[in-house]
Amino acid sequence: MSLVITIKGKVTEQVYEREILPQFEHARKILHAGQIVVVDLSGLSFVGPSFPAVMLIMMGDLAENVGAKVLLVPPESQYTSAYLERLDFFTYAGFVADFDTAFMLNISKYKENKNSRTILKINRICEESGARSIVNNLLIHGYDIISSNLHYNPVEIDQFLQIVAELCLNITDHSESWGVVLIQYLSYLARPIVRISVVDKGIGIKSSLFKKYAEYGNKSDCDCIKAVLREGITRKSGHPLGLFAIRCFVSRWHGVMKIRSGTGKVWITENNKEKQVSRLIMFPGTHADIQLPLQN
Amino acid sequence: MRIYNCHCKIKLIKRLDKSILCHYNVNMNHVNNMIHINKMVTKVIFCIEDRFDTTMIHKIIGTDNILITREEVTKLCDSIIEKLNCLSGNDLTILLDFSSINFIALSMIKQIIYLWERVVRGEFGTKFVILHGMKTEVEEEFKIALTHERSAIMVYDSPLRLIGYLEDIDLNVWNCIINNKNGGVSADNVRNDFPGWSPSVCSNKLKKLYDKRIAMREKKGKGYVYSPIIVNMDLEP
Repeated sequence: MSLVITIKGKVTEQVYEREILPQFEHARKILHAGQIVVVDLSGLSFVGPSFPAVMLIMMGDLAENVGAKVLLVPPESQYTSAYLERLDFFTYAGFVADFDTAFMLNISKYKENKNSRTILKINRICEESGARSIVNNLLIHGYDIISSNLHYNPVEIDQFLQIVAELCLNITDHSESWGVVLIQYLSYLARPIVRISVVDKGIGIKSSLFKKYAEYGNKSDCDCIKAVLREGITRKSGHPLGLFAIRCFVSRWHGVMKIRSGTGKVWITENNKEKQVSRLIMFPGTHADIQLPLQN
Repeated sequence: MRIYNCHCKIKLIKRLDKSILCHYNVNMNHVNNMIHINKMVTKVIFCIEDRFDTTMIHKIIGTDNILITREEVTKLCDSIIEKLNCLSGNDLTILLDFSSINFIALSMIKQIIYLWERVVRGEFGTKFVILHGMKTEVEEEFKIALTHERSAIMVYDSPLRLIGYLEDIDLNVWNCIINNKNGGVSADNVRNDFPGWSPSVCSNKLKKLYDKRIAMREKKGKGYVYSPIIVNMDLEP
């Protein structure tokens, strides 16, 4: 038996929630170890900034948690393939899926692009040393991009690195699995922003909290996400999730922070207001998405 | 600390009645212990030994520029604890030198602050810790974390300062101690600066600073005289 997951057209956040996640959820329910699932990206024409990182996690979930054999059909659009290749998507897709190696030969020419707006290509994090190499990489390669395009001063760049480091350390400290990080410099509504996407395919925030505090077993995913975004809970454990500290940094800069875990999604607006959506399709792990604007 | 040809003189006006201008040669060759922490090599340097009292300043330098993993920070804290425990006598000061650190993750700063809180609680006897050589960015992160934990620590750089959280009124008393040129501050001295305070309030304010391990004290007559951990400093190449 094989199952086909078709992803086509423009993949925005809404499309991803409405059309793509349900397909993966369905696959997770019906597939058994050893069965084949085809992830067909051939009709893909546009992908949102955090989609490549999320896709790797979704495919990783099917391959490792379900035990399915994942076959990836790359996009026919040269533009989309080139974009994904510049992010190193196919390198990391190779860890969890099989695809045509001839395709790789055709697109490897797109690997480097001087005009690329990628601050940090996709990096896979399995252990704490991964966080170290990412910070080091950003200090060496990302510093100038952040400083010149977003006008961050050294203290602000350090706080930016703190956000990335804490999110990466969360993967190794709490998720019990691996994750990926992707940082891009984008133009959003004609304003330059940095978009940080950190996604893991771990146990999720609720399970992580439940291990230390039994009372969170009865709470919703949204309640658990909101708990770690507020001061207090991290202090008790002495082993902080760091999301409260990240929220403080993001709010100070009037940035936007979205956390998706389990069936919940909570986001912090530019005015530091909390919003939430619950009863979404199950997301296997945690997805933190942060947008930081240009500094004055 | 500016180190000129790996060799510098530190002038310290030492404490209280021993307010003698002492010249200490700090030679980088005086490295008597090396602890390897992953890629980071931490040099534990017994840089200054006070001949007049029991104060010793221990200098710990990390040569790697990123301090991010829990394993590294745990080892670093363990090495500090080891030093705190093996030193005998009271009034011992440890100087943590961050001059080679370009980045330290906030979670790791918190681990160092938790250790500082244990020092303040007296778990290791009467010991003091001061920070040194932090880059502006690193100091900013320490300020955030210390303020969050409602704690304060001294920074041994020019100007000599306190970072973190301290109530304004306590900060004024601390400034009294720092700016005093007469070898120490008693409750009576504080009362001269704050005429509305009773003697017991002045004593309590001074004791609070000692309890927070941001000032030293010495018994003199019936009361105590308080002084900074380091009264003044001047670095010369």
